[in-house]
Amino acid sequence: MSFSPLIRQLIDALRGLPGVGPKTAQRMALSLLERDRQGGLRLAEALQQAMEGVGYCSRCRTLSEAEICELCSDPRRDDSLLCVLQSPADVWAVEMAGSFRGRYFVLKGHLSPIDGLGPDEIGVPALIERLEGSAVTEVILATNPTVEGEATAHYIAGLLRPLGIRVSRIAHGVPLGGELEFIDGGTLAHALAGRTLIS
Amino acid sequence: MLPSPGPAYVLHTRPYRDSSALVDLLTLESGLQRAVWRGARGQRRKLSPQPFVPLLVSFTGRSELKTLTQAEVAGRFALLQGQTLFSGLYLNELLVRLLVAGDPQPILFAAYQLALEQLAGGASVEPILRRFEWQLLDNLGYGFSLTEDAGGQPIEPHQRYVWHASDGLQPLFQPVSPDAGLSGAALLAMAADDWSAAGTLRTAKLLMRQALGVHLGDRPLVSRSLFARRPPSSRGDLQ
Repeated sequence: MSFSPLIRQLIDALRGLPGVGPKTAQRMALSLLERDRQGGLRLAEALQQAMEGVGYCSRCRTLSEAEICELCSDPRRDDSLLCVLQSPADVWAVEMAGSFRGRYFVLKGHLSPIDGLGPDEIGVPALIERLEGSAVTEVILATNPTVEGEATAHYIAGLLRPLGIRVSRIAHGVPLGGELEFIDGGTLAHALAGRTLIS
Repeated sequence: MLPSPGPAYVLHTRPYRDSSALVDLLTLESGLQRAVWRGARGQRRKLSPQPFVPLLVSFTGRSELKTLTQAEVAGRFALLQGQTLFSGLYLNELLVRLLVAGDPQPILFAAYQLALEQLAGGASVEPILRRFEWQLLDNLGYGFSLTEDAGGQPIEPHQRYVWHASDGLQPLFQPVSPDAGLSGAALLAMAADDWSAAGTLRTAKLLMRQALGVHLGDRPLVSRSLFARRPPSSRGDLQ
């Protein structure tokens, strides 16, 4: 069956979302049109408002509709700790964990030379600028535990050490509840290299 | 019957659709190979496509873009950190930029494998990079003699030389300064794989920059900027 141009347009737009294939997009479109037109209009309005109203925090560069996001304007947070992450989604992940009370800084991804993404492109100069004259005494590098994430962390650490700022890296290795037998060699190699003293 | 799995390394990964990845692989059998790695980014993935891990892989597909049907770890993970990690990324960028897809490069594959092992083993970084650059140029058909000049005369240790893309090394008869051009002694040391003198590394870097530059074109190698220990807006130098 071929759909009319407007329905086709709606299905194609929904297909642009992550995790949405052609069948799911078709079901969503038909569900909105047949059973929930009000919901469809609310969705359209929410999308438009978010696309036009959500920008980036000028301080930490996470998604925000205010010039300074809620996390940056919260006076109860620890100004001496700065956690550096790869994306706004990572900020939410750390916040959900509930154990970090410092500030954040979001890079534009990770170093990827083959994609033409060097230090300038991912926002390292903005990080240096953020640290100049700040109260930060420790920077926690929480880039992903991938080769590119590691390279990003090493690069930033090399720049920050001369500034007299303590630089730490989030631990990675064997997951809680994991069994050594089933863990890949790369993860085990990192876990052994980053081992900690018990006493 | 499906082809048997062959040795490979992931050079680069980029996200593709929801949970897959487009990977550039250096394979023993077909050189640079681009493929779709299904489920590479899903939470249920068995193996994540990471560089510097020796793999055994097999593909299907007739087009230039293959589909990965099997991937398993085939050896020890080369744990690269700091400068050695940047060096590994530099090697990968060189390969992706200069290799032609589907052109088998077994000697280069072995050279890459050895370079990773040496980097992971803590050997001095610069000789490893210079040696690999030279092997890369040579295997792509861009090599030139380090023991003879363009006219077929032996390289003289006390002579200075200039390199030309068209015909290789030529004597520099009236150097502007004593250290202008390339030292004959350093060129001979390079040919003998002797990196003990500091001047050899300096000459090798200069020569490799020139020789690679011809084939890299105007777009700079981004990985070179990682070796800088200066704020990033001022571009760094490799080592």
